[in-house]
Amino acid sequence: MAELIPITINDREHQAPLGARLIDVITEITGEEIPRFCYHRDLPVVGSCRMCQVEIEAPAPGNVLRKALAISCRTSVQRGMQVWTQSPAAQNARRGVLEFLLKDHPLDCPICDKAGECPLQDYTYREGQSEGRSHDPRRKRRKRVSLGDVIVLDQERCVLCSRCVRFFPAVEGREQLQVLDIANRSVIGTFDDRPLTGNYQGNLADICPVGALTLRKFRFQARVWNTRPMPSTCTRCSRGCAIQVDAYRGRVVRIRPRYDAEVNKSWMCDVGRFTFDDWNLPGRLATGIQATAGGATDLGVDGGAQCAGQWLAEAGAAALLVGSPCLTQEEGQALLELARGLGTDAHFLAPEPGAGDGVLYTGDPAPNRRGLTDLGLTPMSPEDLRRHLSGAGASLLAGEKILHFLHGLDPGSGDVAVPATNAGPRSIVIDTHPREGFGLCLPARSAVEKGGTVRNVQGLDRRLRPVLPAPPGVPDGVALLARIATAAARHGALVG
Amino acid sequence: MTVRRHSLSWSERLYLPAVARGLAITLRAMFRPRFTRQYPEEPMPKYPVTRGQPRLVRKEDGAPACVSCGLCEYACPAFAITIDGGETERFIEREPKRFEIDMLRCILCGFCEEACPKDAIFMSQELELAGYTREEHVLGLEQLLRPASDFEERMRYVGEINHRWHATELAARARTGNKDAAAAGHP
Repeated sequence: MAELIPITINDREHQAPLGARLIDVITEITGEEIPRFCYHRDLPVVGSCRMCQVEIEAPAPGNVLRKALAISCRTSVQRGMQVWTQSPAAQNARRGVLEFLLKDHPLDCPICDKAGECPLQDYTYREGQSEGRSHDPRRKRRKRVSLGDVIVLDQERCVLCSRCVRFFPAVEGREQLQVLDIANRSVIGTFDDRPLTGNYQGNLADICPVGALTLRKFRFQARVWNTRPMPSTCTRCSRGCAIQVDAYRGRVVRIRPRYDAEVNKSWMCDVGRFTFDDWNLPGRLATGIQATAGGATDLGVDGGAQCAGQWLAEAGAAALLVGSPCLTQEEGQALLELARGLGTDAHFLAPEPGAGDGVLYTGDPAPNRRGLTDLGLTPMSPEDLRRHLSGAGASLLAGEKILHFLHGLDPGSGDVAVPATNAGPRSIVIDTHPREGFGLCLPARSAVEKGGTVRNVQGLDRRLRPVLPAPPGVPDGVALLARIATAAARHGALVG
Repeated sequence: MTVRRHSLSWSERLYLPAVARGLAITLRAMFRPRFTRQYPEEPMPKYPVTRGQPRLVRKEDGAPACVSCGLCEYACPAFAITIDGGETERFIEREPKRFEIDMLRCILCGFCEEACPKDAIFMSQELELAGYTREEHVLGLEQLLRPASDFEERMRYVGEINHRWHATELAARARTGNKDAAAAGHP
């Protein structure tokens, strides 16, 4: 921890760590966001946009105080420093920077995906001027440059802040984008127009302070002021990145990283960012369905829970209880309690972890492996489960995606076509969609419809939050397991 | 409370003078100029200020002028407008794939016209709105599009209003030095 020294910001005394970046100190202390384009807290500082200028007075060599404009991202806190963020000189300097940026910026906010969350738009509205003074024609550039499968580049909108250029070396450790050509002809591009590769391209659209880099998948899908953002945690791998889920008309349309200093900083991988189609699937199960000789009987959720409790209680210690690796800690505990009452073990399905990419993505598709292990659930491989499933007196497979893991399907795929499982007559599955081969299907909430805790690979507990409303009548996983346990107790199991 | 009744005189009880007076009024009215209108046969006169149902502008190349920016959807106080955007190969990359106005919701306020940055939606001079089902009042893109020539007068009129508003705002801003002065003080 650096030494705290007094510093004067806008004529008020504050304490700030010596040597800290002025732009962060001002934002943290006064809550005032200094406009910035090139500065990003998780990227190297270049100080090229000059947008974060403030007026400072600091001791200069020769022990004289000198007043000057300085970019707050490249200035560190010194002894005897005074800062004015809104002095006429500072405002004028920033307005000048904006005017030059806007001189060639196309006025296509109505079609730009960034509009509504665009720093250039916000700063212009806040401190710029609405009238242009230039009579020169605007610079023409390529509007639709494909940079691979993920990102589309609009060179006219680019303000050459070079955040995207610095992103790849800083996060992935290799260079992909560059500023090509010189001076007024500068554009962002890749060598030889090669497409971008890697698992982190999606972050470019987040860090781009204008609409130059946009996501192909989100392009023109929704206006950002209509989407409803909710903080949650990513469940696509065991990293558990902090995310923000944007929902629009009851569907997930975009996922963005949320700052978490201990886990993912400002980034997230493309696997987590783009696999959300499975959350928008129609045909959800919202009731308990029992397979009977002639077809299927609708028991309702309560009736289904009664039936499940009876089957499990009658099987007693011969029952096989397996949870999905997507269970939250709370659901895992509920499953554990149920298993204890029946006199058996609770397992969770533990698929073989794949290879990670060495940055954020761990390759382990089980998001809560560590948490469920810590709770005391026994890991069980898909092969073992397949072997034990048909022989068990009664079995309960609990939690969304468990059949995807069992059959080795991609859990993020939007594909509902899960093959029929050979599970025996007294088998119960709790899943988001009706499944074939089970004696009883009960409804589950998906990872964006339930709240709870997951423990990531580092052992940090992070929260899941309900982003979308669950289909009507679908209970929370904990509530459903509790109802099953109550029914089991009524049939003689020692639950509770 | 007691209501005191006025007792009628002999001539009043006869009623004939009153009937004659009434007929005289009717007779006089028959020779006065008419101010009612045989509505469906005689349509209302239309002016640029007439705020009829909102309609979309079709450009000369046949494409909608709308770029589906969603501002009218956002401005609409009655939630009558629904837009889905999509990508096109044209120079302006974005166009509406679906543009629906539920005319049963629309309150003809004209906020959509005011919000539009592309001069793509205008209050037309079409006033008649009748139908047998709810569904036929949800108008889609093809039912809403009209050639730009239909809106020439209205475009000029709206342009004048915007110009006047802009001048007022600039003046207010110059007077107070406050950016939001006009927004706060202007009706």
